[in-house]
Amino acid sequence: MGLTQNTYFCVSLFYAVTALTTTELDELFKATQQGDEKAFRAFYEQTKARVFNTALSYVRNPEDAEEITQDVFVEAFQSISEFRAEAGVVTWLYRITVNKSLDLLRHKKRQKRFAFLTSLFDAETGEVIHEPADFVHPGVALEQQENAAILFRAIDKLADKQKTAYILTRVEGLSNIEAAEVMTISVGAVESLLQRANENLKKQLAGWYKLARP
Amino acid sequence: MEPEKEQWIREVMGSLDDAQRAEPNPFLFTRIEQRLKLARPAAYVSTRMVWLAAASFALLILLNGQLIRQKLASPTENSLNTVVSDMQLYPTGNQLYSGWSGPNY
Repeated sequence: MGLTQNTYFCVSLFYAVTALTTTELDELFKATQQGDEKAFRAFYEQTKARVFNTALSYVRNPEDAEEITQDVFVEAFQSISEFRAEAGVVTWLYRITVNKSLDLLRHKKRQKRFAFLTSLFDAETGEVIHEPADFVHPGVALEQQENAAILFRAIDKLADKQKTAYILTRVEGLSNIEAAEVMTISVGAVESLLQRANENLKKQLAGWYKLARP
Repeated sequence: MEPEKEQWIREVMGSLDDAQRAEPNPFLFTRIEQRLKLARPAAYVSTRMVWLAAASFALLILLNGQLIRQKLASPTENSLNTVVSDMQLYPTGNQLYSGWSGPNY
């Protein structure tokens, strides 16, 4: 981890403009496994948006998503020698991200459940601690942001598996086959989860229609 | 379902269609590096060592058990006296006031 600022800049610049294929990513990961720190940096540059965007879709809060992104890369680096190549390296990274995001959501749910025992408001800022404000996804066009915020709120109400299938395919843009690999289930199961997720989202949105369009 | 409502639901569900991936803070990697530097290497104990420790504990418990069993099964003073008197194993020392109170005194 002893790269100079100049090297960082060069490496970031190169990998920011060059999107690598899965095979090239696997090569980078292999180099990281052999202790190449530059390769780790390059691997991070190539995959950070996938990890961050997935985490953000779950937790709807950039600070928490960055915390998860950090945890994912730290865990990936620390367990790099244990990685077995049965699944692709990106699939492995998505798996860690999904697990960490769901863990954080469960932790927040527990906190919320016991909120009556603690203060509901932050002592310094006076903001509500347990209820996130309406989330604005930075990658969504301005005219779609209001609708996207409603959709993310509805996604949050889905069951964990439906949520994961929906986020991986609809938000992250993975194919059903790739999502199935990440979730270690069959493609048919992903399709069924997506169908149920769509139905539930429609039901949820139908219930919110009058509130959104008074 | 009303057509307006249906249209709105379609719009909401399609709101992420052209969304770009969000990027994290550009300084996030520095924080990751910092954490990796601070993180102490996890203490690794091999499976062999774990089994060795478990076997040692088992042996220790077994030996202790054996010792306790032997202690419990060892002859009491009464049974010792019976054996001594049956076999006439009285001491032959010259001490007048020994702990023995056998028929020789």
